[in-house]
Amino acid sequence: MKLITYNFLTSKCIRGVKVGYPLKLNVVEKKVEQQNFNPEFVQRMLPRLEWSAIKSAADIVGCAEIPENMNVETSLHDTDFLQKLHHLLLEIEIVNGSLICPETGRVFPITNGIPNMLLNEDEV
Amino acid sequence: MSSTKNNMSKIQKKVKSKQLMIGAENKEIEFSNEPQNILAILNYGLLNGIKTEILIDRVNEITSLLDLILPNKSYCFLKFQSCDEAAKVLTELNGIKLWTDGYPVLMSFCKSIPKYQDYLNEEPSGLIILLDFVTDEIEKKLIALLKWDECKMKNRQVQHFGYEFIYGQNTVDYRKPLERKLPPECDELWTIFDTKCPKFKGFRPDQLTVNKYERGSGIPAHCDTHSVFEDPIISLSLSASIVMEFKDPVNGKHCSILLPKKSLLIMSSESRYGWLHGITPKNSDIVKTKHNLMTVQQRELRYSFTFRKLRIPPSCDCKFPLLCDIQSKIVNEQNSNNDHEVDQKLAAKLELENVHNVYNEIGNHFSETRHSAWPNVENFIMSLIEGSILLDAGCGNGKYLNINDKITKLGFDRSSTLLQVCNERNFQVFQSDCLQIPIINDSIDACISIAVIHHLATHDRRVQAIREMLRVLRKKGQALIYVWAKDQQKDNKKTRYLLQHQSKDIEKVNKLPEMAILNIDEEKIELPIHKNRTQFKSSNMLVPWKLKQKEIPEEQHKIFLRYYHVFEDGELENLCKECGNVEIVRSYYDQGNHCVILKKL
Repeated sequence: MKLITYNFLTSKCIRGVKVGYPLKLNVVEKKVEQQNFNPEFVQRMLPRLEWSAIKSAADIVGCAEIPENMNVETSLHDTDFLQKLHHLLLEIEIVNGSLICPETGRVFPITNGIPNMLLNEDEV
Repeated sequence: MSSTKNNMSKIQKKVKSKQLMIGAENKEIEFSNEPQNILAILNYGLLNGIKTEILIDRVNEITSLLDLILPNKSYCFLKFQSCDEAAKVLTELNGIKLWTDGYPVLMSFCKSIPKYQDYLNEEPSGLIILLDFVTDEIEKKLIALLKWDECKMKNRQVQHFGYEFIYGQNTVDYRKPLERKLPPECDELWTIFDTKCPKFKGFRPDQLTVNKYERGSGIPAHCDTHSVFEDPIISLSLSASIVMEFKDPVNGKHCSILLPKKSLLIMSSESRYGWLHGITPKNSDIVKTKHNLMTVQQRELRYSFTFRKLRIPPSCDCKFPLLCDIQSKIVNEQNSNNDHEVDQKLAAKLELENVHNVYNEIGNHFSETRHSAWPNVENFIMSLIEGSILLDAGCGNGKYLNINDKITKLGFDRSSTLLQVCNERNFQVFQSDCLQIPIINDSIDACISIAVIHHLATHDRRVQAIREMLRVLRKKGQALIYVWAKDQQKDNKKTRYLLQHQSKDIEKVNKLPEMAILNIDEEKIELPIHKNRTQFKSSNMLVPWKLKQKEIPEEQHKIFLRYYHVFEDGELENLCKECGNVEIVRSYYDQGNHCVILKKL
């Protein structure tokens, strides 16, 4: 699972959970695979990012250089920043770990790069 | 003088444009600038309130009219003995207001009148109308009985006596009589009835529904529930006339019947049991004048007194099973024995056993057979604008996740086997069910669901799957849905699915029994087994998959049964409409699949 996917995931489908976002990220194993940097692609992603989620995930995966706040307008032409974001969103892969519902603590395991978001019948 | 000239040229312009419009609609109508013995009135006809009585009077003041031809259009034709007579009428009346609340009539010469089919007014048998059934005095007395401070429906007011007539189901509950019985004022009606209608002499109803129809209102076409009422049903029209429409749902026959003020309608046998009746909501009706010509009659406030007699206990042995509650129940029960929806509680378990577990087992083999993208799905994905976020809800082996490099693609599936294939191909996927998509609201630009929803075992679950896609889509975001069609032979053309039928595997698979009994959660579910590469015989069934296993002899290859619900024409659109907040951008049939493109509103 890359952080671009993480950006959209929620546990709100659990019965009783109101927001379920952002999920707490717990990393056991990660890998880095280099991808071609396409600044436009990252630019287009900017407005779709939930910054608080991305920032806390960045801290957890060890990308300390991601700022606390992000302004879409000014960030659009900051190539250095876009490159860092490219690395964070598209090059880091969480291989093993888990996602945790912020409201109930329900754990969704990530195995072999695939988060298991399936819920049991009694949870929905 | 110049103002008249001006006026004339304005009228000429309007005539020209009407001629063009009518000519485009019916090429048989040929207009002419030279005098002819036929005149067309270009802007008035039965459809838009022509007042034939006034028209005839005005024309007859000038010369004698031979014929008036009124098709069911917003124009009509006048026929005269000679061209001169027609010319006279045109000179005098073209551009003149004939009735005060109307527009100036527009006229033109016309070379010939196309043949209009006579209205196919075939009446159902058993329909009787007794004119002037009641006197003015009784009419007044009956209307005065009513107090209208109670129940109001959407378009009309209703009062019940004896038993409540339940609209929507068109029935009564004989176990719940009302305290309010039929008013004694009705008693004198039965003396009249016995005299005027000897056929049903002695008919004494115990249920009365009074409807107050405001001008313009109507009642949807319906048939009173067969089993709960005796034959006939009778209805008195008071205060105004109305045209009632009768429809035969078997042969598509249709007829319009005028119910004059103070008349009694008697519906029995075929008209009662085999036809639907209703009143179209509109402000006027087309009726015949005393000259036997069609004209438009404005509607007015009308009361109907419908009398019925309960049949206790309910029963029916009519010859019209289509509309018969007793007989269709038997038919439905027979059908539902082999094609019914499974119990809501068992649906999830059935899907787990006969969809999810099967895909996990056959996943690798299945994936080998699923490599090429369907062109119309590929086109949809390629048409998304750069930077879009696409979600593949039920991505399988990810064959749609490598199309279009300029967008972000996410996918999910239930099957971990298939997700593993995706992961090896470096696609971004997660494991999830399509009934609960773990994605935040309003965040996705486009969503596809290809061959997924037909694996869900109940109607409610199929609706829920579409609702979930709409939830995660942003406003104006689009979804493309493909489901397997029950009909694999559209427009007499067999689909590829039917054509690829020559294989030993299929022969073997098709030797399976007709029905399978599944043990789901200690309950038995009986489902038909589909014969592969043939037309579907039922909507809910099991489709066999023969697993290729290289290491063991062919005879021992395992056969898996996957659950499918195949879709009827229009069923997918209806599911989508049920979700609300959605526009169906396009719906089409593509190689044995029903497909829709939706837009979230």
